[in-house]
Amino acid sequence: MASGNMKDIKRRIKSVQSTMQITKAMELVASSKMRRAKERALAARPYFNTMYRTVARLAAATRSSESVYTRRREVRNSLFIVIAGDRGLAGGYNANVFKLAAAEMEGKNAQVITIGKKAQEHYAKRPWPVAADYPAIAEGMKIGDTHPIVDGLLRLFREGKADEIFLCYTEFVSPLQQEAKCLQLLPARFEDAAQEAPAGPRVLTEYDPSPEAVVDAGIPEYLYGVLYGAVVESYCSEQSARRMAMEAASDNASEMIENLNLSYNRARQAAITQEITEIVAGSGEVGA
Amino acid sequence: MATFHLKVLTVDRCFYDDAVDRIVVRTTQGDVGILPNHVPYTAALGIGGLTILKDGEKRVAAVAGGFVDVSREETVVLARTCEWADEIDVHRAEEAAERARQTLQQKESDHEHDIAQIKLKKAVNRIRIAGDK
Repeated sequence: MASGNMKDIKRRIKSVQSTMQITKAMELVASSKMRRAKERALAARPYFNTMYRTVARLAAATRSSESVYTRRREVRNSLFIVIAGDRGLAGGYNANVFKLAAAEMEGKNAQVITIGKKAQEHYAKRPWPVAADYPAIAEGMKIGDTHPIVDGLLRLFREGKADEIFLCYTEFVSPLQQEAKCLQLLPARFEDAAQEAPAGPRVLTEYDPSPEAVVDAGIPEYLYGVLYGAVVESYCSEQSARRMAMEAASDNASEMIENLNLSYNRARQAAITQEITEIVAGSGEVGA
Repeated sequence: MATFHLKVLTVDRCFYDDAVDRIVVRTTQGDVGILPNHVPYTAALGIGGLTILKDGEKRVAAVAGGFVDVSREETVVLARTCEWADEIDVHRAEEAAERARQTLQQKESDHEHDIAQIKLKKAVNRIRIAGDK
């Protein structure tokens, strides 16, 4: 019986070891991908921040004659863009953004645009109608890839098929912390930015050809930037979430191997002791 | 000579960040020259060139889409795409132009027609900028 037990333990150690090899490899891959994604996300930030400030100021300057993109209207249909990963095994990354999106959609007549394979699979099985899918674009994302998505959004918005548009993504706070967030894209709102602005004398800015024309050209430009930034941030978050999950899995595996080794040795010891006892008992019988 | 601070940002990098003497940039309304102490000014960019003059030296870049924003402190160009004349791959630009022309010939929907026209414009602009560096 003892040798059977030993064999079982041996087999389990092997299986845990091979799992650990995989999680270790995935951890390494995710951490190198994360490094690259982080560089990309950080490079996009100055552009995005300046863009946000400029457009916020523009929107404030044209408040009197509001543009289609900033005017508030009665909300019948809402549109949610949900950015998730292309693969699983990333801890709570995908689940967190879906949970947030579901909470935000509560009580709204919502439709969804998905970015990432996991989002596509998730919403294929839910009651919300899906307006468009964009799987597997995050890794090699270029600013040009956002154009068809944003143009589609703007069309829905102008035709009244979507009265408000939200973006659910995951912000990369640090390699150990990612936060699912929901941002209102349209109608564009910049209240917080306006409050932060210094209360000094207003500078009169000249807009060429007119503030309205600049806003109308600027909002799509702003959306390209926001969407690109959100995808890049989310991708970076996905990689760091995966790295963390895999690190935890590897740690667990090595702990398991340690425990299994202990019980293996104990079983071995027990088997040897038993054998000796048997031999001693046997020789005693013969001698008597 | 007076200078002002110019920042050119694209999504993937900080393209230019230095003091300059003068720039000329193509807005949707045409070329606009910006000198030191320009009034605060904001305009959307078209497809065209960005010329930067610094210490008597001229550098040209191809820009497509974005914003220019002049404030007291600095001038910021937020470009959708931006590349120096000597970075442009003329061969690739010519191929892109050819592809766009072919799409234009096929009678596609209005939307695709518009896209092809913009692509053609961008490609032609890049070839032109690369030519007169």
